[in-house]
Amino acid sequence: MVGHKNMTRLQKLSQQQLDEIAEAFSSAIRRDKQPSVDDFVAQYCADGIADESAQELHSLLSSIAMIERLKQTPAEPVDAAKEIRQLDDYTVVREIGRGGMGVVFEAIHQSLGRRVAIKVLSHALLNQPKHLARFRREARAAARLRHTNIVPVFGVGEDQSQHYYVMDFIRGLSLREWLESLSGSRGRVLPTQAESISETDTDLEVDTTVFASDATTADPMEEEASNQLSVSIPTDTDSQKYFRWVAQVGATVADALQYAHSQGILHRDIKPANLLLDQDGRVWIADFGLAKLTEQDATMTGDIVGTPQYMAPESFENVYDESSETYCLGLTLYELLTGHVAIDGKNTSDTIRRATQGVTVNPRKWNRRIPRDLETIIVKSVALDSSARYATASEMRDDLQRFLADRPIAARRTGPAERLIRWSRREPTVAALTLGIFASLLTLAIVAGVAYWKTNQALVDTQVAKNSAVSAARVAQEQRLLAQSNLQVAVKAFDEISQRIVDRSDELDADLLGDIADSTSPAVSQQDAQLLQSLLLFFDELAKNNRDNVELKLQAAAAMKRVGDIHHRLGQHTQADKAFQEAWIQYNEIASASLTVPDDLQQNLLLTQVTIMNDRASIAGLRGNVSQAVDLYDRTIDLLNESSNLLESTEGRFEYARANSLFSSIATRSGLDVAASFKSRGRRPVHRFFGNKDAPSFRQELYASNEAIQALTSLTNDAPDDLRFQMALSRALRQRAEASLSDDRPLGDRLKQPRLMAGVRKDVSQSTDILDRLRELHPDNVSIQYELSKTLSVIAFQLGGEDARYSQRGRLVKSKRIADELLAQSPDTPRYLALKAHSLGQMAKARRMQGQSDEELSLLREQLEIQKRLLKGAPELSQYQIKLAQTIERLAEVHLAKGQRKEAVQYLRQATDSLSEVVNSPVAAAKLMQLNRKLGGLKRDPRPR
Amino acid sequence: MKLGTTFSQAFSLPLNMTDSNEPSDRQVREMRAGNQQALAEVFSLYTQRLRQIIRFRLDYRLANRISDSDVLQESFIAAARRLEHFETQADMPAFLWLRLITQQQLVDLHRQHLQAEMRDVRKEVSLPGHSPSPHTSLAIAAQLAGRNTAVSEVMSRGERIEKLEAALNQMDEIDREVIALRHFEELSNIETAKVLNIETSAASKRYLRAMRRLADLMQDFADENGGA
Repeated sequence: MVGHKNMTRLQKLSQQQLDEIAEAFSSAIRRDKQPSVDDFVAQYCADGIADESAQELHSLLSSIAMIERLKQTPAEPVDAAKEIRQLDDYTVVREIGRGGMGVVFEAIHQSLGRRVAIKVLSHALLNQPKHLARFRREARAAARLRHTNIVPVFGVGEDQSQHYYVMDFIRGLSLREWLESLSGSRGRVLPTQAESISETDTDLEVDTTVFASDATTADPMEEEASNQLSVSIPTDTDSQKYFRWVAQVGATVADALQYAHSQGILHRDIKPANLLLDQDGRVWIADFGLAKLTEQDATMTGDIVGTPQYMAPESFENVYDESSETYCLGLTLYELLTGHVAIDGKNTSDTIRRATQGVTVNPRKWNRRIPRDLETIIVKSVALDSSARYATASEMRDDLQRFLADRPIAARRTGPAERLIRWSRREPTVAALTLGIFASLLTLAIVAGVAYWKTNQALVDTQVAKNSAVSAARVAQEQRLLAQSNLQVAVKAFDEISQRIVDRSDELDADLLGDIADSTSPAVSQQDAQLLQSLLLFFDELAKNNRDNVELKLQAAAAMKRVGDIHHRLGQHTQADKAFQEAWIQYNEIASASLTVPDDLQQNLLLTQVTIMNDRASIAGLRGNVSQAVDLYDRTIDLLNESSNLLESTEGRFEYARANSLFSSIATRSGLDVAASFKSRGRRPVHRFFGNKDAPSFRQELYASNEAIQALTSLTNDAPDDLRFQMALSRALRQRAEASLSDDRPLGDRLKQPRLMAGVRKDVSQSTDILDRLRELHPDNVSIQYELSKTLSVIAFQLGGEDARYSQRGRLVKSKRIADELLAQSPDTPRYLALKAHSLGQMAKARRMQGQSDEELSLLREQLEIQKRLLKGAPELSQYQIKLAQTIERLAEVHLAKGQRKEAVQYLRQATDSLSEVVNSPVAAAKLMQLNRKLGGLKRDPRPR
Repeated sequence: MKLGTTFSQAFSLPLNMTDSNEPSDRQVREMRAGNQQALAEVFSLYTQRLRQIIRFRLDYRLANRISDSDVLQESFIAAARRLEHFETQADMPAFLWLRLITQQQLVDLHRQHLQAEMRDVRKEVSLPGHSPSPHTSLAIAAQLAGRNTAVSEVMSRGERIEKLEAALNQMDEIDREVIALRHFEELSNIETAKVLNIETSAASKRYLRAMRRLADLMQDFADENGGA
């Protein structure tokens, strides 16, 4: 193969030459030239090339050929199991099928004389010990199942390095084969099963379409004579009888699934091919315990082995539960009913795409004769949102049985809007699908918008024509209404999506009363934010094209407000404020632009504007911009006064309370002398609607608190069951307590003021009582727990009191425990981290009041660590920086008190460093000045104080 | 809008499947000057090669959701958007620049779609030139197994694949990556050198060394099993 040796002048191939040949060879293979390695070597290693080089080239090209051909070779059909005749005690009779997982044989269990079906599993499935272990475990679990409609699993085994799975042999056919025999033609009369059998030879050896069986007869041959099928499957697939038969099959399978689920076993691969019909027409579920295997394999070979057509949408996200199983059963019943697969695609990836989008065509679209109730059941079972499905297989079974008994079914038909919304809000795949959803909704909305416009025009035209075509006008009117309602559906869906995103970012309505210190919440994902931005574009576009349409303008304004909400929750306060401001302007335009705005809408507009003002005030508070917050408070109250009856309405009063509560809490936390700032700015004092108008107003924040509490008390009296009002009231009571405690006098002194403290205790107790009661009613509501933790941390009681309920120490411990529990549920959530920091701070305060400085120090350090973490997550938040600085300041004070001046100076420097980074916050600036003064004093006076 | 038309133009151009599928200097020059039409022409010439890379590097979980054509399309749009950057990279061959864009698209797509497994994925599609990917062998395995073949069909071929996979797994990352670039992304030696940011001679050396090691390893396996 190589040129003959020439001992004198042998050349070696250089690296470069070798590589060039390698490239030429590779590209020849890739061009399907099938070059031979030998030829190539011979071609390049003519005379004068050393044998050594020729060998090297040969080896190189062989390796290349191996890789490139392995890459190209079309997959070879399985043949590994071909030769199997005997597996342990089982004698193989014949092969009855092969599939993704391996080859299925019919076999006889020699010692028992029992006929069985054996699945010999592909090696690729079990090539890892853990897969094998899983396979054995699953099969063992499946073998425990005993149900008249579950094919009994006898066990697993291994022989001649073949792993196999043994189950009962069912004579009959799978629903897959049954469906194929329909060959898709609707209305066609099915061959009876007897017919389909008689088409083939009765000899089992050549019968390949029949998945025959006998489970109990000792002599398998005996059964063969009886190919009489006593099946009573209705032959006309368009008949009511047939539909009822499908429902019966569904109820039976659902019952079997319910049994398996009750045993803790999921099938994971319910599809027509795994449902067998025996000769008596009984339906069986086969292959329990096998599906998990293929799932595992997907990660090994890059294949999804499960049939995507019959996979529940959530299983692509590795979520699978009972409702996924009933989903798959629903798909199967759908196909039986209509003769069409529920999910169909051009190719695998298309099918997967469609599978994740769910069933889009209702059964009755295929055949109007399908009973409506049955369709409703199927549609419910295949709802994209698993929470809209039957929660358990038994529920589905019961509904099918109700249908069969002609009783009213439990499933409810859903309107198109609801379906669209459900479709749009499925959470697990939002990330993957939002863009798609967005595109389709956009199309829908634009089409609807255009149709709306066009029909509107048509209506005008017809009216202008003024001919006698009254009916034409009516048609146009109807179309217009239709188009408008389509548009509303789209808009509503959009709103749902954005609301969903808002909700996802926040546990509940905890922010309703704008608790300013903590409303920086867990992050909304970047994708959601982007989606929201595109939604905004959409509404902008709609609004631009429909300037005279108040409805659309409203939608655009509402969207803008939503965007503000999102930014707010993202902690992007500047953008949030901007969006809110923009929304406010838009609402204002709508309100003032036309005189045709009806009164009730006018009222709503005003209320929304108030809500936005309150949101902005909350943000201003978060940013430490007290004067803006005060300003907004003023404007809010003015707005509320503008409409005579706004304060009479529940929502109006609520916003009024919210404004006052916000004002009080911002003022309290800012530590600013609000009264003075009012005076210096020539403002009128806090508005009093409920409270005593003649009482002196030197502590504005207290009076704002009073107003909020009075308003909320009346609201809770009117609507005792409204959680919002109760929560807000408990919070306002706490805020009043905090406001009372927050002047410059040391807390220790204040505790000696019996009258003041009695009021504080009363507020704190009442707040605690409300929250305790709410917690009992809603044990899982995290917002209530959050509020409770806050209220418990207000120091109002004797530190070591005897009554456990009023022992401040016990309350503080409980407060911190709640924070810890919340953090355990959602670690790293800023809201809860801040809560814990707050609790620790209060505990430290309590220690200080008792003069236990070592305990105080360690609590303060713990608090500091958490605050540093918080700040790291939101470095721009002045509130965090100020609080951090306060903790450091306290640390410095403790050290100073212990005579450790050096440490104190260090801490103070840290605090000033941290505060000097804060921009645009008068509160931070004031604090910084104060600290600098302190630091200066400390430097001047070397003696410890 | 503009992009859409150029893109469809790019794909309606007749595809020449031979190796001489290289753009002319003029085309590359115009592309470098920011001409979208030239980009469309060059891109279309490289479609097959880019597709090969996408197929190789696209995570199997994604391959089921996104087609390689989708990625190509996005890559084209991204290339058009970032065309001005190409101008500044005078020594970057057009193909490698497009490959880079395509890989960035892949990274983005993986990030978007597989957030849960983001860390793994990022490794898997990390630009091989900069950090050899430990997951290359997984991508190789997926490629070898063929994405849409049923398990049963790869059973007997599986053994050989298994061996190759095992051999690749035993090699060090640099060797594995070189083989991946040369045989699975089907880059030339010159391109490989550019991607790895080394001299062509060094790239040749590395490749030949890797192939020698692979041959040795395969031989070892064959010996262990008593002949292949």
